[in-house]
Amino acid sequence: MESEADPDVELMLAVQRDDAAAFEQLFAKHIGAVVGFATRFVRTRARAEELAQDVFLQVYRHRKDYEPQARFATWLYRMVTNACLTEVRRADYRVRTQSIDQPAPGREDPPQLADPSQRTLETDAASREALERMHVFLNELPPQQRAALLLARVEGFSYEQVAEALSCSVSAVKSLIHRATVAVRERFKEEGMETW
Amino acid sequence: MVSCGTVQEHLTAWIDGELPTELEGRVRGHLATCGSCAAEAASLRASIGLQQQVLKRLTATDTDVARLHAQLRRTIAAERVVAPRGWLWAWILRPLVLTPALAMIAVMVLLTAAGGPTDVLVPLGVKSPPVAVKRAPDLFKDYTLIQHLDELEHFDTVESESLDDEQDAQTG
Repeated sequence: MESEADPDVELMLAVQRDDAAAFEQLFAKHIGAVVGFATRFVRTRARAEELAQDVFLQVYRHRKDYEPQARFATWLYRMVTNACLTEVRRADYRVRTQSIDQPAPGREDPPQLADPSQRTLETDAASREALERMHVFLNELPPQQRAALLLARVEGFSYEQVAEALSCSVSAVKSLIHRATVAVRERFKEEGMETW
Repeated sequence: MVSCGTVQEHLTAWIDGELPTELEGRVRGHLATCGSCAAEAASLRASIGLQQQVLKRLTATDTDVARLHAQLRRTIAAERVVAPRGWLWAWILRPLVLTPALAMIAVMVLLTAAGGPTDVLVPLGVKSPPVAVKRAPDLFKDYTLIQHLDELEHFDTVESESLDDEQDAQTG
């Protein structure tokens, strides 16, 4: 079983025994990636942080229900993906009803480069452009394709793990990832960004 | 023989090493003989590498773990104080509370099914009959029957009405 080799499973089992330090370790290990993932589904960094915290609150609340049948990350990202897709659906609803609470177009946070100390001016400009384009391309993808692509390419999930996180079949994941990959490649080609 | 269309549908999964062995072999065999599919595979492979790089940079965040953890800790602490729902249910479902509660409900259901507490308790001697019955017990020998006088009255009415109808028919 793949969970046997996963150190996070041991930590989660300790969380089940109300070990606060284990929960803190899991939180510290995954919160950055979860915020990064959520940022691709919501308009602002602040909302992504709220969403990530809600997910960890769920992890804490449901700690007694956790069963170590798969990698901890798969279980975690199932909740993260659900939260993100629900948020997207809510946002769609808000757009349809033209809520006055919605931020004006262009008011969302721009993509940010991590670790500012390692940037140089030249690479910064090229990287920033590529990141901004990718930000746009990702937002053009349907949410399910976006989630599947991020889980596979960033989190390094296998198709089976992506299927578990998205509650769909492996063949559906195969199709989602293929379509997303081809769509992003075409957008890169259109923009003349085939290298970085 | 696999067609170009089928191979191209499977190319991303093939590059990701996610195809079952048999299909992987067929795709590899096709790519060895088909130049356009091989070119498509090379293009996809390069794009996947690029996408992976950009996506990793895009989703990397400088997260203030300490601040977020402190906020979460406060939320959890507040929840423990405000909403101990789990404990409440655990207390309600204790056998010591649950058993008498279920017994009471069973007694009430049985009494209702048997016609109400008076019908059951008075004949059993658990409940006293009304004062009038106690003062003149000879008049109320069969108290449980007298309780249903209303129903007997309806019976009489029906009987007398039918008699009247017959008399009317005879006189008419």
